[in-house]
Amino acid sequence: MARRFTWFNATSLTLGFAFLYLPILLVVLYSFNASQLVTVWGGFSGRWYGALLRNDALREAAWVTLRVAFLSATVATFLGTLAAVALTRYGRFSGRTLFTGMIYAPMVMPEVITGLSLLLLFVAVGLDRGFWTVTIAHTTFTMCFVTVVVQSRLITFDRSLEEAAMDLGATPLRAFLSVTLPLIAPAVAAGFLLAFTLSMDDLVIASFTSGPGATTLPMRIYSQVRLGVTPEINAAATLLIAFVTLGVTAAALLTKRAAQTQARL
Amino acid sequence: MSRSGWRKRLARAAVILPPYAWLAAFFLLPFVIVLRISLSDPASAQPPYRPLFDWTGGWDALMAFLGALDLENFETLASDSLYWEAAISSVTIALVSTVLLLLIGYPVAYGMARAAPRLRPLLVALVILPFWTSFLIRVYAWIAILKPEGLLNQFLLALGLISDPLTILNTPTAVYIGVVYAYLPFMILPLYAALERLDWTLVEAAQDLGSPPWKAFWTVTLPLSLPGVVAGSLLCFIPIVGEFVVPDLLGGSDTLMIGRTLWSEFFSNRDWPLASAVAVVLLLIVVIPIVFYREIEARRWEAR
Amino acid sequence: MNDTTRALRPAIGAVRRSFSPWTDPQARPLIRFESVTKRFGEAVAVEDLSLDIFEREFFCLLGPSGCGKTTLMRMLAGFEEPTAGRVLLAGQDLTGVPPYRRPVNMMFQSYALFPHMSVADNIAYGLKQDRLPRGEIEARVEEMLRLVQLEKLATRRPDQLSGGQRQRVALARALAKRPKVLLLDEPLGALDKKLREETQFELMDLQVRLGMTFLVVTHDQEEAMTMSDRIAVMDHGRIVQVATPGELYEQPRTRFVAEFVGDINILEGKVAGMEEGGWRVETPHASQALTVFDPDEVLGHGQPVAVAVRPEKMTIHRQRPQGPNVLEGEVWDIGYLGDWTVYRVHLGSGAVVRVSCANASRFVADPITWDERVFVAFAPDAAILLSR
Repeated sequence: MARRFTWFNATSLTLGFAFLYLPILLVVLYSFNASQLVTVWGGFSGRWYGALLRNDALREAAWVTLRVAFLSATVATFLGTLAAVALTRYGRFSGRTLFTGMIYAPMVMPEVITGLSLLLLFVAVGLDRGFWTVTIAHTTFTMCFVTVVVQSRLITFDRSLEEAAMDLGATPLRAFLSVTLPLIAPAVAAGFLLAFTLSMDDLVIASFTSGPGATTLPMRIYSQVRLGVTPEINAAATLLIAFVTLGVTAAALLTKRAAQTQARL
Repeated sequence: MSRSGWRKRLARAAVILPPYAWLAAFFLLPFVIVLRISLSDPASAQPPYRPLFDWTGGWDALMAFLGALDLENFETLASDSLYWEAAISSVTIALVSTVLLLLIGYPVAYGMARAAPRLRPLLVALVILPFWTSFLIRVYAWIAILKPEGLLNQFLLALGLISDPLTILNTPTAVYIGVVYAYLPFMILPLYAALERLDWTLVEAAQDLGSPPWKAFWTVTLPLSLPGVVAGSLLCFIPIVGEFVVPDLLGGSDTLMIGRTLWSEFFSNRDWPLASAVAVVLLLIVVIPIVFYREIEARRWEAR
Repeated sequence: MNDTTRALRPAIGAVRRSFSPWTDPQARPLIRFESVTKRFGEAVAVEDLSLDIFEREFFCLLGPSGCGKTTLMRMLAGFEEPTAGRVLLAGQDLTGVPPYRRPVNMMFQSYALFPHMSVADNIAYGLKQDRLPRGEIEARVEEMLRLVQLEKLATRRPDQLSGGQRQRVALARALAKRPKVLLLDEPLGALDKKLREETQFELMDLQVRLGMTFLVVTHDQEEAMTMSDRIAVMDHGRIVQVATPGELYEQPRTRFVAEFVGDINILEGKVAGMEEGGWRVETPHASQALTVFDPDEVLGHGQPVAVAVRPEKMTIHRQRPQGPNVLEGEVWDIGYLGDWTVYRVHLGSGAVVRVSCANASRFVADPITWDERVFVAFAPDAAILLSR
């Protein structure tokens, strides 16, 4: 094979990853800065993490965010998995074109549009903005990502396994629950984690659809960032990065295990 | 229809209907409402637009309601050069950024595809990680770097490369840096997916038949990775057109982008009908590449 | 082969020798396809097909890929519903009965073993669907493991087994529910050549011992010939011929069957008349008309017909032999296969015939070699006349 890993390849990888990671590393580094001035290094300190703990507004926002993320990711995983099954198993049903359109469009739709349109819907039907409206909004745009993740697994899924289960006397539902679901579980879990992170990350849609008492962490951070960089935000950001890193690593391990099980067959 | 036939139909409905109904209610219906409000007039009331439709009014109320709708907001948009400039500048920034992303992302994706197979999952994880790290925080990180007294200027001054701090923050340059940085994973991943699938013996064959490496790249590798190039470009271009966070945090007040315009019409001016009209225009701008993308995806699916 | 099979050996022979329910007009078929048609959109997979399969038969559906044999089997399993016609099992119409309610089980081509379950759990899966008591399930799993000699691997996962072991698990899983019919989709396709041969005979013994009906789909004619009581050859969604392996080889009804099953030389010609019970066929490939004894065919004078001869039923000579049916040509190629030598002889007409000769002795003083002029002969009853 023409597999020569050239100097050009090595350089582009190094520069590319440096570009991707340097800014994040700087945020992490400066969260341990003792100085009040964000761009001057004043020694190593954990004081901003202490300040963070005492910041009730941020803590409360984090709690709202976690609740929204968990609830919306759960519903999104359920709906998204159903949608993935519908797309891979049911061939051409009436309205399929519209359905696939509605699955793909939210993923690329500018967030300002999704946010504004959902808000206008909530106002039109007289739903008070708050925790539930943010949760509904997040479910809507994250379920599409779940669908894509689960769908890509279902496409490579050997359908004869389900047929074998039915041939041995399992009803379609039992076949799905006892054979298909355990085997696609890693993809479903990965979809859940993706939905969870996307929800935790979202600023724009939450800003439109949230109301009093349901300020999410990104919204809180945004309003502080507009006033300038503070070491406290650096600390919050670092915690968020650590959280996501853990999540992504878990998801990667899950998919890796799934791929290995598949590869051994 | 036999009993098992009905059972099958019922099962299908139970699978398809919940996600379908959800998306119809929370994705499709809102667009209809946006369209309807974009044709209304602003009002200082709750909700802040007129006319409202009275369900109990019957036929006459419906006609009165429809009669009160007009294209006034779109006329405002068309006549005010501010909105024009915002739209044009959004598309320009998105186009230039997409080209920059391709130029930066392709060598990285190429390097990943040529790396040893056991390293590749790690490299992919390394690209995904920042993509999953808060968008807001990644943009925010650049404020501290690009500020006049920021880390980049400190660095350059210390090296003696410049004698006065550069002004980057609150300029279009900062917006480009931020957009390219934020969307780089979106570009690398599809490119990598296309390059990773590529059969490298084809490149060998091209070289065996007399192509020097650069020509083999130009005539074999690049054409075969074109689906990835198209997918990556659209995945970046579409959301960048409507980008709000980057221009808001890194751009100056003169950096006009349509997403930001929508935001300020809504939150600062509380002109919901005009904001809706801006959303309709933005939707028209992005719908063309979305349809284009759907076509390509559908063709890829069928080719499988 | 284990001891039980050895003990049963004479009984198996007796069953095989005397088994032919299809010749008995009183016999009731176990499986009946009644004018079955299956269309997928525009494409016709199975067209107006009728077929009877009897209890305890080892029946093969043989044909090239895309001939409809798998679709036919899947209609019996319940994964496809016929577009027209019906499928009956023991007299019961299966239309509308879902796969999980049919008393047939299938061994899938890919085996379709559940990768997240152990060997024992795979075998128990079907029994659990029937809600059998736990003790009975355990006993049955035990019995099945013994049957396929995998007792020691009960707790392994499918991905820790060899190809041959997986095949046995798939077999045990399908047999565990004691189905009325066992369907086997290309059962030996994934095995290597040596293992395939061994498994063929094991499957045959198993079938007689269990007294079950086996329906096998395969594209491998050797496999079909070795194992089956009867074979149905399919082409383009239709059955071309149903017969025992011997009949299929020696009395193929059409050119397709003749060419699909085994190797054959086809010489085109025209009927020139009948003499002493033999047909005379004029052909551009021989200087004199050929004589063929084929009582099955009724032909008209001047009708185009093909004379088909298997390579092993032809002989090759340096001198023109006495008797009818002599072709003259030049040796173009010689393939030495060890047990056989195959000669490709180029006739004056431009056609090429293959002649195979058993290598009965180890040394031949003056073997026929390349470019030699030779004569190829065959007996009148060695040839088949094919008008279709």
